[in-house]
Amino acid sequence: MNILHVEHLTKKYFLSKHFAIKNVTFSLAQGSMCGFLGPNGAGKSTTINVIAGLTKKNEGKIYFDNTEIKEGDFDYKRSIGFVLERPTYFEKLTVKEYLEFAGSMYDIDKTETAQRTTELIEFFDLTEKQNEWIEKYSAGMKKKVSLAAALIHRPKVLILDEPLEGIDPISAKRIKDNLQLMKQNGTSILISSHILDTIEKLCDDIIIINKGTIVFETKTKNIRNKIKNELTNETYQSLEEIFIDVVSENTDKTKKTFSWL
Amino acid sequence: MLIQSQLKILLRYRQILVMPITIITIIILAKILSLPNFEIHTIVPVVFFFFVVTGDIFSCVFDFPSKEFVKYLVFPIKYQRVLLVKNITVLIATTLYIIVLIGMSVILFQLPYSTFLYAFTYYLTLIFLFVSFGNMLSAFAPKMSSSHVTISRMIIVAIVLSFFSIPYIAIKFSTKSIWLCYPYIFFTIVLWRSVSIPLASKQFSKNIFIISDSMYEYSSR
Ligand SMILES: Nc1ncnc2c1ncn2[C@@H]1O[C@H](COP(=O)(O)OP(=O)(O)O)[C@@H](O)[C@H]1O
Ligand SMILES: [Mg+2]
Repeated sequence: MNILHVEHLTKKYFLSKHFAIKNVTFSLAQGSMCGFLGPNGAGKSTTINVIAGLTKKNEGKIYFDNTEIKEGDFDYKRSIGFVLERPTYFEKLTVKEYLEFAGSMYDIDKTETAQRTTELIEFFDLTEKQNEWIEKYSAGMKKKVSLAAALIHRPKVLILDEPLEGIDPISAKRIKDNLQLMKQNGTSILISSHILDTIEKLCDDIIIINKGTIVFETKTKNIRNKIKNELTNETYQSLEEIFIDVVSENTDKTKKTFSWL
Repeated sequence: MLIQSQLKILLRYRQILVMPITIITIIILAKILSLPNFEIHTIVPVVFFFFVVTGDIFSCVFDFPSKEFVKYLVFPIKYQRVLLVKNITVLIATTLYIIVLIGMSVILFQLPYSTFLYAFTYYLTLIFLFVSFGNMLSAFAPKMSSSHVTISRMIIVAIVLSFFSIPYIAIKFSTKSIWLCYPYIFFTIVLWRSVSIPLASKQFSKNIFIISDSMYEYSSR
């Protein structure tokens, strides 16, 4: 069963000549983790922002839990935790205040919110700075704040746009372990990232998008069986190999060196 | 909770507090000195003040909600409700500022130029002009950390305040020499620009201020 399904999503930004995404169709299976990959500017964030209702789509349909999401709908967000590419926290609040605010937005009661806030702050190693405005945090710490707010309401679905960008290895490991744990507990996760080996390790499904259209879709377990060369029956050795292969197919020419070097 | 947090955020924008506090101070001073009269020179500070205040209104009252309010939308909240909160905030803030501006102008236009208060107001407007320059600077020189901007502003304020005493003395001795203020304004602006531009370069400021290194971590964000 699919918890999230998008169909023919198309978006062309105002005054832009090209489609940011075109005819994007994919599903996120209940309890699975799906890696959403693509080079910079491929349309990952646009797709995610459309799902989050922060960007208006031109065409297409979004289904959440088999119900179509119409423009202006917001109730479905109760079941989703978003980490978006553009920061969504308030810079002038402290992490504690922001998490308490987030808790109240999800109608969690005060004592429960306080309890979860303390745990989240501890988990993300933000205790030392918990009374400082988010404005003063480093990029990685800010990402952590976004992540913490996305987890506070025990969402059924997590939609994460490059959640591990700028996060230190120790926290990243902890986050990855927890994503896995959450998945085991039934949370469905859509994650965009450039860290291919992490995606390969964590995800059940892989979607690669390039220039606004989905160019590749597979189950992670099939990656190494996928035939690369039909003549020799050679197979792909890694997600990275596939990624470079499918993405550069659609790029005019992949320059491998610079003329002056 | 929504309006509560929105107001909390809004009030934490420094500029929004600096203005009313200054204006209240001026009003109190005006009351204490109980000053009458209008002079052509007083238009200058009013105009300055108006631009500076308008700039600040724009940066924190209008710009703020439009930039910030979209952040509410990751939460399960009705778009119209966010819009309403945004508009209410803008409305309250703008009304307050308009009232303050009108009050300010009324008081200013009643002041004789040859008073302490006049010079004070005059230079205060200049200070705010520089604060705005500081804002511009932080916008155009993203490499500069916020603490850097604050430091450079403080320096400017110090410079401006030291210039303050000269026209005050001039005013004290002759009403005509009020015109001396204009070269001072010019000079101060030139000085500010020549200080602020090298300030924006990291290396220069690193040599000048041996303040916490941590600000460089933030400056590269
Ligand atoms: N606000 C915007 N206005 C106009 N074009 C945009 C905007 N945001 C993104 N784009 C364009 O849409 C395309 C997809 O961008 P994005 O979804 O951010 O890519 P990704 O997240 O995969 O790096 C890019 O060509 C980008 O230039
Ligand atoms: Mg992106």
